[in-house]
Amino acid sequence: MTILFLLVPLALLLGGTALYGFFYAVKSDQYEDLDTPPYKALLDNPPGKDTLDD
Amino acid sequence: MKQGEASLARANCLHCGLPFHGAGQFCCGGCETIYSLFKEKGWSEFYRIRDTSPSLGVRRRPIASGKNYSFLNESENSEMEFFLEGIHCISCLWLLERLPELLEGVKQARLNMGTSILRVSIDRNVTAFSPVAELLDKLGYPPSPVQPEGPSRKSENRRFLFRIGVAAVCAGNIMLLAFAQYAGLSGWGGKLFAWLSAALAVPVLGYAATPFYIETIRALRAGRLSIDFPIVLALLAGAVASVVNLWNGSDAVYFDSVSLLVFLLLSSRYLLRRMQEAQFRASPLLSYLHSNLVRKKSARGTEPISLAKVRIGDTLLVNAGEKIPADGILRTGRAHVDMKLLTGESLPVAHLAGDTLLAGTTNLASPIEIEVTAIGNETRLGDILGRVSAEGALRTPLAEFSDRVGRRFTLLVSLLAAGTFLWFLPDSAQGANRALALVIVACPCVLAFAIPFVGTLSLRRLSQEGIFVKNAAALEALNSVRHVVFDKTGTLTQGLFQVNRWLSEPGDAGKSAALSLEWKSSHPVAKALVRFIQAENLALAPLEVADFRETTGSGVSGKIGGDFYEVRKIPLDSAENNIGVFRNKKLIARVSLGDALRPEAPSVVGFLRERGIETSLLSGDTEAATKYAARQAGIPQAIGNLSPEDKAELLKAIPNAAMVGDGANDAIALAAARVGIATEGSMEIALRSSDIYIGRRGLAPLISLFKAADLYQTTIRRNLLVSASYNSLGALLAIMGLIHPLVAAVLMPLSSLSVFAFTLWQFRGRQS
Repeated sequence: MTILFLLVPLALLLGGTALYGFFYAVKSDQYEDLDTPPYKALLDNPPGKDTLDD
Repeated sequence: MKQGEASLARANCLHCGLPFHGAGQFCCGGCETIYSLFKEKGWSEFYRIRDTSPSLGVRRRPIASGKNYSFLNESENSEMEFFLEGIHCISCLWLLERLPELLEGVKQARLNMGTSILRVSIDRNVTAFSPVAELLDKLGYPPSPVQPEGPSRKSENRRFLFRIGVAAVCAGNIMLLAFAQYAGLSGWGGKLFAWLSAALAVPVLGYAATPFYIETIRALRAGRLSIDFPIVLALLAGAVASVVNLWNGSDAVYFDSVSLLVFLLLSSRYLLRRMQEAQFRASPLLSYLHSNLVRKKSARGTEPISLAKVRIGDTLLVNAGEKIPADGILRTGRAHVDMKLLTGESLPVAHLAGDTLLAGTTNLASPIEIEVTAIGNETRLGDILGRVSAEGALRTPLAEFSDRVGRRFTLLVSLLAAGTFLWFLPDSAQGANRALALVIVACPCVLAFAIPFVGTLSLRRLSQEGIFVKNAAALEALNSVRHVVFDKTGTLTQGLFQVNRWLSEPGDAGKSAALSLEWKSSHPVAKALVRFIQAENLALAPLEVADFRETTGSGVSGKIGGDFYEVRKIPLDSAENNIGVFRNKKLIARVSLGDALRPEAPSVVGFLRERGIETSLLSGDTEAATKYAARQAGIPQAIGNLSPEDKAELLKAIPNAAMVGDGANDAIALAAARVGIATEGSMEIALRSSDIYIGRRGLAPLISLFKAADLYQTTIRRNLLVSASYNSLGALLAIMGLIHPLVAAVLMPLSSLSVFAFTLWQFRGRQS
């Protein structure tokens, strides 16, 4: 049972990290446009050119 | 591509890929310009992507509207958003995001494929917004500037997502802890876990669930029960009971169900919200029209002024192909005007000096001058739009149905719970347990969760097919439709002249003469004749014409090789427009021109008939033309010569009627019908007056639409049935004391999940 003292805080820590990551993603506008990115992945960059995006 | 073929063959345009008749490789100068621009930039990649990617929407021929966008330069921002028409595939995205390479000074262009909104930021020292808009227009994406969304909407969206995130993380951890308890963890470990889940439930109940409290309190203040009421009741009851039990040392805590419920509800509402937003961020068209520029004639020539500054009595110059900006009296010789937008009249109407021209109609042939008699809301178009918004206010809101059922259900559950509690009153613990189990197990999740979910799925499916439905209530209303009324021009027909019959003596004399004469005219009938003759006989070429004359409202004449030829109207009240070709005053060929029926019209009408839906045709066109089109399409009733107001009156008299028509021209009628389905015109005007906008050409989407409405209804009915039996059984067991609140709490989200899975299963593979 003592393993719980490690596992429970670990689970909470994982949850907290995920929540932090999610907040970060929301704040950096990653949830503003969910329709376009899937299409962007299909566009190849012309050889020798820098990326299309920033 | 069809290079090197006979010059007037049917070919596909090298740029836009759409078929056209005529010489060369391009359908219009605009396409040619863009093609050579791309070649110069080495962007043939565009065509490769276009040809290999699936189309995502309506494909339109890129026609530059040639609007003047200089009013955009009044803005002082360096960032602006445009709603673009004609976004259809990945190559659009590819191209639009390369805007900085096309125009110096553009810093960034970002396209949102979901909303068709392009955000452009520029360096104001180098360029302005009008060249950007003109370039977009030239590329075939007529832009409308939209109000950039305020920071409030954005932060609201973020708060919603934060709530979902908090609920997800807490609910996940609480469920992890609850598993151990269900598996039999007790003693100090159980206590620890119970307290831990209580702690984790605090952010869920105190932060994530606040929208439910706010909505419930707002509804209660307005004197009604919102559908959130039992949810709030269950949340609070679950939380209070859990805390009390926890305090008394019992293991019966329901934090897991409570937080899972909050998470599920929030997620489904977020999906629904996003869906609705994506569709209805169309810009207010009227304000856009008002900010447009017109050319005013003054002592010093013409000067561009903003339409808002036009006064009655001003003289405005309107070029061929432009919309007439205000009601006014024609001051120059003659004008051909396309009245389709206002009256549905399929033929261009010829006007002579002194006639009144209406705002919103299009000047077709040559530049004209008008003296303004009415502006803005005083014009006929303004009047129509004003009435439309008045009619729109009478519409029933989306949530009416589920609200009504939800209110009754809520009341019933609350009363039953109170009754159960009172029944066992001496034994308050017993009564409380049973009442709590009842409230939790009978939570109307289907109403709060499944109905919007089914609606979202249906609307999403349809929008992928280019059919935009304003809200799920419109889909619901479609199922009660027993009568579909069609408009003729542009709805049942293609809205384009076409030669139906050519009767002449053998030989090409008539065709050759008609081609030679009509070649010189820009009248739409002439264009249709030329198109027809060229498609029929490629070898014919226009001959030399002497003494060419064009007479307004009648036809053209001229001398060819010593003979006098005329091509002019033959006045007959028939379904079609009759044109005669005369040689030396003798009729040598008779041509019937009409607006061709859409080929799918009879099958769509047949589909409706099979469903027991009546059809009729109401049109502003002549009685004969209306009757003829109705006969062709298999529509039993037809009335012609109707004004938009007449149509609206007739529609009001038909219960449960759906109107299918042009978004602008039939605006009043569309708003008067129970369900308005707009087929043509701009989506912005259409969705003001109608519930449904079909962005794809043709009538075939009507079939998909009715099928989708069917699926929507059956899925909801089945969901309600499943959940009603589930809930009544659960409620019964709860009242009888056979379900412990803890078990009820497990069963409740389980029922939501089962409804969720059932809905997805119903929609599985159904590409309507």
